[in-house]
Amino acid sequence: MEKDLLINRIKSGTVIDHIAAGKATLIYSLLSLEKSGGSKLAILINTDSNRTGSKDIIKIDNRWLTPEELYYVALISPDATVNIIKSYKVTEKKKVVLPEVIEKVVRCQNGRCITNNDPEAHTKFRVISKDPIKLVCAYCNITIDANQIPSSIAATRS
Amino acid sequence: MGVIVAGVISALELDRAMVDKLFSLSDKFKRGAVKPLDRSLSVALAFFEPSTRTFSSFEMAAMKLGLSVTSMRSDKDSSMAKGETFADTVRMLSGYADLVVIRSRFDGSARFASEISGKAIINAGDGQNEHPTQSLIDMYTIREHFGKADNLTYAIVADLRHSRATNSLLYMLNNFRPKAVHIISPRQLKPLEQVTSRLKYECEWSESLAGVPGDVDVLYVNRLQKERFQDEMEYNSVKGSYHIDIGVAERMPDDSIILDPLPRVDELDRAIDGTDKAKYFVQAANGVPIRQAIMYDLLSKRR
Repeated sequence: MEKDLLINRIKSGTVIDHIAAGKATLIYSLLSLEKSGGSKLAILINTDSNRTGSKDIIKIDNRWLTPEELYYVALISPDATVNIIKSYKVTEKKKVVLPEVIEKVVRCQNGRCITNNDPEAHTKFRVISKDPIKLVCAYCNITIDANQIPSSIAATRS
Repeated sequence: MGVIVAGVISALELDRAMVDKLFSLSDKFKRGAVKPLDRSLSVALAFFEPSTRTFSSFEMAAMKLGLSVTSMRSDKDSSMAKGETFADTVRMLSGYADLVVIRSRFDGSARFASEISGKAIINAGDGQNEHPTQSLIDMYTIREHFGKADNLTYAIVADLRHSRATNSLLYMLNNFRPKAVHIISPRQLKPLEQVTSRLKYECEWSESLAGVPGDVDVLYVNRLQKERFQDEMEYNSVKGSYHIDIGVAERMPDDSIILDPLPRVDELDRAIDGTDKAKYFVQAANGVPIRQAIMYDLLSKRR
């Protein structure tokens, strides 16, 4: 009931649902959704969830996520789902998937790593734990945990 | 039987079968029982960071194998000083040689080189990450002394936070079922979790040399890695925090040994040099047959 009061349905676009409570603004920031060309956008924070008690939701009109952006969502909130909306109906519903290897998305925080010292050496991280998320650099072996991921992603997009 | 495909990048990728094969080959090289390789084969020694033992032993090993050698000993002596990238330098050297040996101050540089080179790469030390051929030399020296390398008690006294040699040694020990591994270091120089999480055996850490057990077989010592500290203040806070003197050596069992990948600074008293326990120069000398074996194995597969 409360949800209906807060947001309208979108005609066409993307709904990122089941975002871990409190993580929506981070996803908004990392996906630079403020630059979505004037699209209507709604963020629900700490709304009710039958599964987890509370969750966040992002609705974006006329905006679809690239595969790279889906990885960002998966890294911040591995249990999120992405719904594709057309003519007010959900035409596709998928859970974000964290791949075994993540390339060019996360920056290595080790300043001595070759990926920070050669323009052709793109980052490559292996996912060694999905809950909680833990990544290891395929080059220098440094590990990055969930707390470090937002700043590591932001660094690649700056 | 293990097979080297992309070269020698990490001690974690050297299985026991491959290690044993390289040790047997090294034995043969020591006896002079291996024919030189085809003289048309070549190796590039690409040392972007200073080195004495590793460079010299690779160079000597290559000459003994009959290889043509091209080399650089510093990025300051190459076009990297003019702004050429690491990647372009590796590609260029890979065009000249059948095998490329790389030392660099950047962690992960050998792995990256193996992805772009098209030739087998040997990691001769990449930043603070790994030094896998040193760990082969270490274990070969141990095996040579004890006639085995399994089921021994180790005490490693070192700057394990910054040392690539001890990282690779710890990884290499996964292959040798150690009886016990004792790590002695200042608290801030303990090995990183990213290293210990990959070990298949337990390590016991202590801050004091009293942590060297009475039944130690191998005391492995390594200097503080001064050049890898963030700043002078951090270095000064641990400077001189461990020193192996003759008293420590005398308390060790008769047949035990002391190793140090060198260079030595102040971690090892020179009074130990004359004792039977001092095996660090034997260890350094073993760099040649081990590196002969590694290059021979890689180049034999190429033919």
